[in-house]
Amino acid sequence: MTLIDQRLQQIFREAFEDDKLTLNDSLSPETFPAWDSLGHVKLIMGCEEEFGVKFTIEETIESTSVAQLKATLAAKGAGR
Amino acid sequence: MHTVSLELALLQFGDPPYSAATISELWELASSRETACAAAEFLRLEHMAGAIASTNAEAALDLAARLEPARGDCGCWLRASLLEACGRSAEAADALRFLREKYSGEERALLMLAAARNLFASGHANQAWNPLAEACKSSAVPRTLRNAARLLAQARKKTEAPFRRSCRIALLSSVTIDFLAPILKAQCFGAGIDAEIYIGPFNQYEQEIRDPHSGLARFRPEVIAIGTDWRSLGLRDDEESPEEVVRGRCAQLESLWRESRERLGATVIQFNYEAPPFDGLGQLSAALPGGRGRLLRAINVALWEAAGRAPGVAILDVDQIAGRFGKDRWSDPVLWHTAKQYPSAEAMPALGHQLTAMLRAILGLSSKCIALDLDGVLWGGVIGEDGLAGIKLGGGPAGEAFVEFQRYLQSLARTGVLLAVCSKNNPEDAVLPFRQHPEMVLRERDIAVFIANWKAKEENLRAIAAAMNIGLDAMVFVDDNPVERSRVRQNLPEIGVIDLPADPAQYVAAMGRCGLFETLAITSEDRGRTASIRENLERRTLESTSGSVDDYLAQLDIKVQLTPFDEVNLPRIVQLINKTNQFNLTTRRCGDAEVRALRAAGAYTQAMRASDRFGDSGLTGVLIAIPEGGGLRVDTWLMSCRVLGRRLEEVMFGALVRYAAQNKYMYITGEYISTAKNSQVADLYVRLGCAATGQKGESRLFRWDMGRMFLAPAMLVCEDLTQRAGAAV
Repeated sequence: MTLIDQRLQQIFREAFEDDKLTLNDSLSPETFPAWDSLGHVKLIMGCEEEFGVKFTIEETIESTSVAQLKATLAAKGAGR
Repeated sequence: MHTVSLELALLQFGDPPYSAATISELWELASSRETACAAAEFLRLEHMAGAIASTNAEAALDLAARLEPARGDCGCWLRASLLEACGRSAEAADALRFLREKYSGEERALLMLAAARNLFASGHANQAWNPLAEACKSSAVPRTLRNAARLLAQARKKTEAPFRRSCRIALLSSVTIDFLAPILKAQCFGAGIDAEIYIGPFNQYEQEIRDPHSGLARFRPEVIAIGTDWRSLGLRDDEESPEEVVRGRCAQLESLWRESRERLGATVIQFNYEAPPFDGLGQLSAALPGGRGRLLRAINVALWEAAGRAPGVAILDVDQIAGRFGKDRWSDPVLWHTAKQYPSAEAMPALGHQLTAMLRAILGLSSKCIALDLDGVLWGGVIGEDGLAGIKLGGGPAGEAFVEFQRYLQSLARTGVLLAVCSKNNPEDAVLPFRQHPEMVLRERDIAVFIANWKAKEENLRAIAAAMNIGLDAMVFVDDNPVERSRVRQNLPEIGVIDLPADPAQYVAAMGRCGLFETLAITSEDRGRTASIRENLERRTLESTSGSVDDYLAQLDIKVQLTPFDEVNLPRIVQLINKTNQFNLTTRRCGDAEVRALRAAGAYTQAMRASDRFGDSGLTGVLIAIPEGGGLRVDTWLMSCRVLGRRLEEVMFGALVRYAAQNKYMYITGEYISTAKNSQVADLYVRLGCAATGQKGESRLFRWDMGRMFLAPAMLVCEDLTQRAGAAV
């Protein structure tokens, strides 16, 4: 597991209050019901705090799977 | 040697899995670093520890063992993180012990949170609550506070958490305020408040308050925070009839306050309005009579005026909180447009901090005393060595910061906070500046208790608390010496300790940020409090020179006045009901609305004032008795600690007995509910001659049957105005 994955997993665990959650790229609001609109804001806030980046409106709306979230973070140069 | 920051050095390690060679490099780096770490570096080390442990637990434990001799902060922390990641929580907690008292601010919060986590995990809950509270007090980062709230919730399922008070708080808002809840919960825990929080549905604050069947009504809030934002006012950039707009918006809120107080019986915290940082009209927005900027300020002033007329309503100055935080960062346009969240995530702790400060004030938990060190706090230098002419005070940049700090303390004292001196000095040196230095702002009369000696500060702090008759948890300790602060923190964890910065120029800000001294109103008793404690100390001198207690009381020349509750004395009565701990039979807290309701329902109400030859102690006793069956039940009875030991309880009870007899009640019942602080009145009713009649729930019950005489002490002159007031006022 890369450090980014490690950090992202921690953000997910905190946002959904689930210490056993394991991160995988297919995780999305469709596959994971706890990922509702409030949960989504928690995730974005968590990523912004953890990686010191700021999401745009577009990025906030589009980052609705782990894969997309990671792509957005990579594009922003987060975690490097 | 270390030319790159630790964070950069750690970044070069890249992603796990790490080879044995890489782990050795990490060991070398972590064990050789001796400089202090920043919060981001702590977090980075924690991630790396987690990554190593999850891929190779053996390597992680091996690295932890090799780090054992490391004494630098980086090495200790990495070791603790590795041990925690491997489930060795007891050892991890132990590894953190050296670090815990070394930091302030966010770093302190992270260390305390880690310590608390590991102590809970290793079954030492009793030692974990204190570091958890310290984490909540130190942090200003949403994530740390959210994690603290989670840990608190998890730990509470297993053991009982220590709280001073509980409070049901409803957050109603025109915006998404859900994210404030966990942060506020953590901050409240830091203040000793068990906050049960209700979040009203988005932008339905008005329906919630008016609908008798709403979720809010079912929640039965003790405090309702109405968090309306400036956008919800719907102001145009330039209004045509500004006065009407201000009046209308204000009247709408006032009607909600009335409903909240009268129907729901709750205290109201109304947020005022931020004047936003950007407006299309620019500076004109405030300059034009109808400009939005001007109107928001006018509405804020009108809200303060309205709250001044409405007891039980306090205004939270959000505009000032936003300004202090920085309005550019106070709102986050992305979060606003995507989630209607306001203020920004990073601003939530600042808002929650001030809200907690106000809750403290409402619940009577604000600190009552500041114990001040002298050298390096009130002046620069050491009076015992540098002498009167050598200390830095006024007369130049270095000395002026101390003058300003003293002025700040003097203003604080005006709100009723008592100042005490707790200094390691020869007493004759310590008083010298107070008596003779021309630049001193504080004088001896401003100091309620003055202690200068060479004893341990803990001992002197206890003596100050005893002289003031207050609990240690009502005290705040201010010292420039980190060693003294750390000692006090460890030995007297109840006391609030200010992390005074090294530069005296920052003292005022450090005090201003602590949020421990908020008050809702200044009563005349607040103004006279220092004089009153000084008089009390003089009384004690008299006590030690006169013979029996009664001789002493006779010499004091005590005069008592008993009156029913009225508009004038009600604010002070509510204040006493909510903060008196020691002489308090039932410790039932209630707000202005509830007291009025009791009075309207025909309760006997008695407010006691006492004066003696040393001064007027003001309104210091409260008694409420409710007619029940053929008798009167004493629902609330308390006395301020500054008038204890003068047999005033007998005067108060005597008046109650008289009233009961005249109004043909058959008996008086009383109850005692034990708390951590009120053991001194456990046998009060028995001492007064009542019969113990058993136990009901947590109450011990007592009864006075009418037809017997009650003799109040003759040397106390009493003017009793409660008799003719009758039952209904």
